[in-house]
Amino acid sequence: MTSDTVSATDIEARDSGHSSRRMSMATVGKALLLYPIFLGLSVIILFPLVWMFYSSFKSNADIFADVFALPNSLYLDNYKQVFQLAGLGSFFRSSMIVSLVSVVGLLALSTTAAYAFAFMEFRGKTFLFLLFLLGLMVPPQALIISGYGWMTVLGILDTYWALIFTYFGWSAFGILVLRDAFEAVPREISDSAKVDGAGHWARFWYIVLPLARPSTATVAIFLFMWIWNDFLYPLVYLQSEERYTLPLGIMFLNGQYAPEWGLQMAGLTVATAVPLTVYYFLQKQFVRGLMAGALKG
Amino acid sequence: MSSNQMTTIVPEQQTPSPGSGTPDRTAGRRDGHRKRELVAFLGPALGFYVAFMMVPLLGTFLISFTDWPGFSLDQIDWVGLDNFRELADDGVFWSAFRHNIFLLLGAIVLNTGLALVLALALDQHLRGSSFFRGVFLMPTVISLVVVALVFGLGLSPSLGFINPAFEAVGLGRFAGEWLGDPDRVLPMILLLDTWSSFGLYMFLLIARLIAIPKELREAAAIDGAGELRTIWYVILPLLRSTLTMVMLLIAINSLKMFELVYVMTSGGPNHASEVIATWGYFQGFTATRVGYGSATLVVLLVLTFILATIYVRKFRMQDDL
Amino acid sequence: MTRRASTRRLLSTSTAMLACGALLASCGLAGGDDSGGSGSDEVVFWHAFTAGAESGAIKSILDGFGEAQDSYTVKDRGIGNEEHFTVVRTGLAGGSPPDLVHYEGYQQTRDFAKAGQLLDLTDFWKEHEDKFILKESAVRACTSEGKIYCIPYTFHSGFQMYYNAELLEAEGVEPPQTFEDFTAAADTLKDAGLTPVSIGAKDGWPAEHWWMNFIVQRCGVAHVYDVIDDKGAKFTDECFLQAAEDLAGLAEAGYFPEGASSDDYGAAISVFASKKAGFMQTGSWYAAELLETPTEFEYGIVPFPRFEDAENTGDITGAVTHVFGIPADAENPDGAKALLEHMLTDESTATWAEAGLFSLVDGAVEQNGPEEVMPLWDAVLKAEASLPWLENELPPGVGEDAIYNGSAALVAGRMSPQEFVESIQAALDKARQGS
Repeated sequence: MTSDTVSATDIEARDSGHSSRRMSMATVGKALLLYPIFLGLSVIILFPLVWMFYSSFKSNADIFADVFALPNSLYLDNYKQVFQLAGLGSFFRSSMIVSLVSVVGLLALSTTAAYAFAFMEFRGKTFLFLLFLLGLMVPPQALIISGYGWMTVLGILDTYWALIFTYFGWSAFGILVLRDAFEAVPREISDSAKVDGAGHWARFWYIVLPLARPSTATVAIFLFMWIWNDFLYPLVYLQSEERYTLPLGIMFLNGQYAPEWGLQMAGLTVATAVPLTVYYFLQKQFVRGLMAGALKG
Repeated sequence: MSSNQMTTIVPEQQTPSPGSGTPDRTAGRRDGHRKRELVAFLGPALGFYVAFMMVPLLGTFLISFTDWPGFSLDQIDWVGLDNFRELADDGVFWSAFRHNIFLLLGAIVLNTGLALVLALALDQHLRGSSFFRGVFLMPTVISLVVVALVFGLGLSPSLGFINPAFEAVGLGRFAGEWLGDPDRVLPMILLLDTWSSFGLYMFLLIARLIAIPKELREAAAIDGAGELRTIWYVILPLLRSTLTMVMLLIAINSLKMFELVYVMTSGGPNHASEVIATWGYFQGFTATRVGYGSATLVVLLVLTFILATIYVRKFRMQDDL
Repeated sequence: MTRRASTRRLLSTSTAMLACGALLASCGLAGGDDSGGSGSDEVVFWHAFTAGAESGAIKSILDGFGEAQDSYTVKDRGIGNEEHFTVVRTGLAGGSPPDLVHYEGYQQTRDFAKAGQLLDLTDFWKEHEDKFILKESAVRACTSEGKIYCIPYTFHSGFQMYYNAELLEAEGVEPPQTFEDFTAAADTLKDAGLTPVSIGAKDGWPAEHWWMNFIVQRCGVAHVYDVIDDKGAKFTDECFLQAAEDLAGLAEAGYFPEGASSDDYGAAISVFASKKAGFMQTGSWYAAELLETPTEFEYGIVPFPRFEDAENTGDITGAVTHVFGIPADAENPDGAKALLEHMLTDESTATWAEAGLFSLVDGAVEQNGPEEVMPLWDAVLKAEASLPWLENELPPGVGEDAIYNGSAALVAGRMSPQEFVESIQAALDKARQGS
């Protein structure tokens, strides 16, 4: 294979799809084959989301009477109750603080560690890598009891730090994914930088990280979703209601012997809006803009 | 460093050679500096990892050698390997083990297949690709509470729409119980797992695909290779290391599968969808046998670790180490 | 756009994010030193009253406490059912428990007490026991080795059947008095193409409750306790097998919906509420819920129909379901006791009873209970003995594994009654060996 030169316009042209080109026969064929698949899958995937949304406008009695029927009137009491929920604002704030600090910190931790695994030579590398892999294999509920004891010892139980530090321990995913992405950075580029006298920090920051931006964004998106939706650790590590995260806070909406589906769906609709927004911005900003920007140099 | 150098992208070799290729020539003179750099890059992640993952894990490991019911620290008695001996005779544990293996094999086929096909399809840059990419991420965003309700009720023969749908298209003989039938529940769990997790693997593959220079594909096209041949001979080899990693992740995630089973069936009916993680959770949290539950999870972890180590070595994810 | 500009932007964004997080964290929003503890005037109360009738009632009781005195403020934390036990146990074991905790009594009382996690409330109970009715059940839920560790609060009965009055009327069926009436009614509904009985056996306990309603008739409460207390009786005794056959017979007759073993409690409620089924057996809590979320049709409640040839006609199923204990490590046991005193006042028990919940304080339900639930309460008062949920009295490996899974399999027709009782006895033997 030969080396080639990529220009920023190429990247942009690829990314904006066929719109800048004439539609060829092959494209039409592909569209005919692929769109039905995409659409079919989308229905299966979006249905729960759609159901959650329209069910949130049904009264509990209506849902019981027909679970999948569309609402016959716009019942807003669920949302009224959700927004009247004492502390909804503070649940949001808690979730934002914990998720943002954790994800930003985790990105810093796992990008640097992944760089070390990809580009640095040291003894015990295999051992350390396998040690990190172990972290991916542990089911979270296996650590709850001893983790609780450990947080008590550290004196950070019922603080955000208990969650943030616990999530900081989740670097294995980012390390595994980013090491793979970093290693895919063409040797010639990082070597040419070395010839220019750039040290590890410069190569990490100016070359490797920008070129691996799609993978970094992917890692960021998924870490955010996981941390935002995490229920188990906040449940056990937080005790004061004013520090509850959103999934924990809206648990109030369901009861022991009284399934409150309508109310729950309203709460979950509100809770889902944030990760959706975050995804929207992350994919726009990172996957596209910065990627192309980096290559423009 | 000029912008020319920056924009020169040279494809990887067919066989990826990860790790740093050329040794640092100035290494000898800067040993201390390199060590400091290594510590700066790796230290923080390792520190938090050890403090907040390994320490609790060590605690769980130690508890697995006790008969602790989990109520008071005074009640901890060391019982040596008793829990592990009991596990060897625990019928539910072994059937959970078999279920995990089934889910592992099934998930590798289904998840890898679906994620790869969709990643390549979205890579065709048809109009709306980024919309569909977003749609396929949705299962990660949706709370499991919704998933459990929609699929639990949807599959229910009393309230759901699956059986009527089968009947409507003349396949009524396949209608029946889904999550309540011991023979069908595990395949259903597998499908639901694929539904909920393929987006992650698809995203990882797409992120790698984006980084493949367009010129490579064009060069192949000029050589007269068709679309499928280009994918087979040019794209897939470049995805090899990412695919290896994705399959490792799928394997790990299906071995430690917990939440989905917990919300959909709690391991039922009558343990027909029990997996090791749910059984360990039942023992540790519901049955107040934290020692035994911890032992169950430790066995799961050791098993996963052995499999992962074999895999990592076999597929030379570490061949430069 | 240059590379440097984009890097700078990333740098500044992430710095801003980190700084923002650090600022919020350090200026007290992230909590800090008062890790789970409480001041001497604060009473921390953990409960599972998060929705429905209970949540409103507990809120006004706690508000009443705030108005009635100035020494203490309550900081309560409601946690949904399944998760509640996880949190309580972790809190107790981890050494930072609340001052007052709500749990389910029986086996939990014994587990907590044996671990030294609960304060001995025998004296407190002695002071107040005259107020209580159904004392035998109440004491049983809170006793461990002769001492009393909790204060019982609510009774839930399982011995009744809810029915869709409009559906029954349309098919010309009278509300059943005897079990024979019931099967005749179920046959009529079935022939009319309806599901006679709604049940969601997925989680085990709804099927278990059916079996228990047969057990109290076939064996009687005393006999069941002979098994629980290991006094020579076994789950393989004839009467338990007979009760299992009763349940399997209903499944065989096709009275349960096709989705019986796929559906959970919520789905069963939905089947009943969507007019698809004629009957549903569940606890008295549902009567309280129906006050809040009524069905679109007229419903009725009858005592669980008895077999004409039943051995025992005075026993029912039902249990003390809410009890309150004070953890041994509580920082404010006096405040917790003050709150308990308040919960036992006439005002509080009236609030509880008005919500349709069966307060164990004498007279509370009679004077304040809504009329819809009164027949259920009368049946409880008339009963000679009452059998608590088996999972509360038996080790989890027996109750929440063998009985839950087995009774669900019975309902689905996937286990024989003989296998069922044998699996339960085997689990019990194993659990006893272990301890």
